[in-house]
Amino acid sequence: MKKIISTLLSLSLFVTLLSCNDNDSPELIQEEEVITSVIVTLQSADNTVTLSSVDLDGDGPNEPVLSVQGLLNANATYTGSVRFLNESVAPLEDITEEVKEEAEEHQVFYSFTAPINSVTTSDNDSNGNPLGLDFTLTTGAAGTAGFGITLRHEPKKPNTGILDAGGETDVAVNFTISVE
Amino acid sequence: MSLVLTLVNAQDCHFIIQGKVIDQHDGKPLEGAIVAIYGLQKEVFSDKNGQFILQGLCQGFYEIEISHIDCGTQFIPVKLEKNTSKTFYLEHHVEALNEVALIKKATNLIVQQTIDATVFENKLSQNFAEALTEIQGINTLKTGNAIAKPLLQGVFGSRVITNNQGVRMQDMEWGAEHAPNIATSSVEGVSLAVGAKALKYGGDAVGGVIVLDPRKPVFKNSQKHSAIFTTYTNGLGVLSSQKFEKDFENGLFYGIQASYKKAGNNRNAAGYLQNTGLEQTSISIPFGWHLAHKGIDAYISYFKANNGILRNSHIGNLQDLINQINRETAIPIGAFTYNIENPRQDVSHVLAKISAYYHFEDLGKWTLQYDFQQNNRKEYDVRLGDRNKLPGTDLQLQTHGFQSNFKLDTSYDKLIEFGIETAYQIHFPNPATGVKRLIPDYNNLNFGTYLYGLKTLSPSWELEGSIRTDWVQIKADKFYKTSRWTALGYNTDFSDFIVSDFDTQILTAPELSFNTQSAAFSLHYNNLGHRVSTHLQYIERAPNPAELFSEGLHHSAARIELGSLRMKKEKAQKLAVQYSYIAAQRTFFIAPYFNRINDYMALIPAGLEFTIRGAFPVWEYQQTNANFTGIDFKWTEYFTDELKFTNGASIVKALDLKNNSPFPNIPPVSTHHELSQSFKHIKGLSFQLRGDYNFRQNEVPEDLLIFNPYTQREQLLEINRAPNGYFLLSSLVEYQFPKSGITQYKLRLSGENLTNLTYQNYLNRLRYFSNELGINLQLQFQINF
Repeated sequence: MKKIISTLLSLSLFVTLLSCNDNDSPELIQEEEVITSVIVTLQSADNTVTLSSVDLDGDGPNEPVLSVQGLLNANATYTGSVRFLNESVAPLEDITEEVKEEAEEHQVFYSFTAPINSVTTSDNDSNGNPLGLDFTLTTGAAGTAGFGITLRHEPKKPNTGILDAGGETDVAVNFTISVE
Repeated sequence: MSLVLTLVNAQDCHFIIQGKVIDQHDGKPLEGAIVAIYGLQKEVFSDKNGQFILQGLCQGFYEIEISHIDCGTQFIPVKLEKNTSKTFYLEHHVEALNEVALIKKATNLIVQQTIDATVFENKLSQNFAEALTEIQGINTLKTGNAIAKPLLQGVFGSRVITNNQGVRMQDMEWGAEHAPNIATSSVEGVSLAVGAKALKYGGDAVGGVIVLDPRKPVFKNSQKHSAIFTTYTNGLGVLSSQKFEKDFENGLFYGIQASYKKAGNNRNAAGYLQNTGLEQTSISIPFGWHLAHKGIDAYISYFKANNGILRNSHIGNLQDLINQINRETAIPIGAFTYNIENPRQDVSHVLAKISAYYHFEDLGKWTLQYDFQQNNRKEYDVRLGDRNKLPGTDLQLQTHGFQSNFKLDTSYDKLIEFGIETAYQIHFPNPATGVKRLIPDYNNLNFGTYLYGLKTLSPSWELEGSIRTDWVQIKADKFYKTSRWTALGYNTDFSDFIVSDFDTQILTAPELSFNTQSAAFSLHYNNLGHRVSTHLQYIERAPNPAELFSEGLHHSAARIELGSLRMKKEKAQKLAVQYSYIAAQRTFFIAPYFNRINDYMALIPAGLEFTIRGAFPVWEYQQTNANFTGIDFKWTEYFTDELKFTNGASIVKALDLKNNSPFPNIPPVSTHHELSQSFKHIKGLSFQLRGDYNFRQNEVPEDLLIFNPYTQREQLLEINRAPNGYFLLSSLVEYQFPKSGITQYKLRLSGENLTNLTYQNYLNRLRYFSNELGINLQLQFQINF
């Protein structure tokens, strides 16, 4: 019995000592799949408008920084495209490429208020369903318009709109743009 | 050990049990052993030939309690159908008995607070926490259908300790979506320890301790096999459980138990629920050798579960959640498949222990134990591309435990027990996930020491008392987002913890220690089937890693959860009274309690943060004061020899005193009625019909009104809205074939939610995303040989 006890004691001591040997610093994790930045380029025959939302601390407490460079012209047609970037790592990662590679599992949805008249997506995935990285936007009279972009992962495809689509929201950004 | 007493008949009470008590050690008759019927006022002594006779007994099931001044106490179930003669073997100083049975009467557990092995046989296909709900006062907090954790009188998580085979389970119990890593089929029996006797299992069990009975030797040459095959319709599940037990006369025993369970997508009236399959494997091997004065026990077990998580519950932002809660998004209808895809949980648990005891003549018993546990938890999210194959969370928790316990049990009317318990833990979150760690690397050292005493004051009165002190030290290595570190004000309060600065992230090494003190008293009164136990306890609990370190976005809840380095220990004062009455035709149990918890650690909404996915509510672990008040009730009546009626009910109210608000996830008032019919002329056949009514939870926290800057309007996030009350009907038909030799077959057909009701369960965290399961029929076939 004494033998058992002493074996038990030394075993536990041994294991405890072994496990105490753990003083290495943990590895820094740079999250690669985080989307920190959404950049929208709107191009017409006359001008270019760039919209961006940048949130470098991801789900940290800092709010995203929104910026709108340029004004939309009234009664014009713009060719638009959207890019998703991870700028928290160096070099920055272009998540748009991954969205393109998995086009069947993604869709970008747009919402707008007047005087934006319409937003029509112009690209498709391999199944012929809308993807939405490229689109056409038309404006009406002058005013202030709301413009929203939502990227959904694994939505139902095809769908009749964002509510029908379900899936998981990876990006939800809203801009306010002046139309002159 | 089964202490559940079932009395059947009062009509024909002329039976006798006679027998002989023999000292197992030398085979000689034991004089002066007390032979009593548990719960009845019948008690006789064995004469100098070891013989005794108990008269005037009714037909039915009895628990015979045999004790001798030099020996432990033994409880032996007897089914009395005719005059019975039996020989009982008692062992000098051999602790072949349940820990709690050693102490003479005080530990005769309250009837409604134990579950014996046969009950678990009926509940094999349920998960462990659900099987526990047989104990009045236990509910489950669920995440979908596969993941459930016990809610004991309104509290859960680190406040409810599970002690498995003498080892405190360390399976990351701090997570609301972390179920106990225990296979239902490996469980022999369960009891609930409260009051003084709970402290030796841990000083921080604010709710109580769920004790899983270890295997004990039977001191005879025997071998038992049990094979159970179960199949059920909802999810087309199958479960196979095999058990082999071998015992020898000399106290040596070993065995093996293994089970495998697999099920596909569940369904309800609307259709299949996407990705709700599961796969579970368990194996356990007990071994022991109990000699007259010394013995060893060993146990090793492995548990693995792969649980699918409802696909549409993995959402991206608050708007997704609001759409789901308001059912504006259609619930996707899946198809049937056994495939489990992301999101899913892949968890495993290894438990190994070895313990040895030595009984010193005229002094007491000394027990030493070493145990090891390894818990692995991988959570797979829906991710981009190849990362889908990588878990988003990959945690490993290793625990080494060592304990020493000394029991001074030479006196018949008192018992003193003291011991020390140490544990060393290493938590390692694998950085290969590429996702920020939810819980950081940490090492945890725990040192506890306790003293327990029991005194029999008179044949009716007993007093138990216990004190315990613990010292806990946590050394963590944690990366904080620099913006978070600053926003929480840690840059001024905890700048000492900073190790290095990586610009957007800061590596810190928080070192925290806590000293906790706990004390409990239990007073018991026993008389003519009446039993009153009063427990008074003061418990201190140190914060757990989630409460200290959580930092990040929680997907299914669409919220940011934050721990706090500023946590102090939690202090709970509980008064609980349990009254039970056992008579030939009825049992009655009522247990009111009041638990006042100061500095209660709770997740409380604390504002809104904006990210590129939209707005998220922030839930912070904060400390408040809480009152938990409730009553558990159970009543069983034998209307005839063949017909039994049971009614149970539980009420609990929980109030956040600082915010003057109810807490979320508190069980609504519930009641159940059950009729059990057996048949005199068809032996072995029985039938049960059960109705459960769960009321609507009317006491919920206020919903959050959230201003959405993008839509420029306020939106109500009805996260606390409780679903309506519901009535569930279930039934069981069992036939036990006549035994041939030692071989017995049992067949069970059971059904749950027989009306295929569409309902939502307030205690299911995924209730926003789907309705509960529809009808389930189950067929179970058992062979014992």
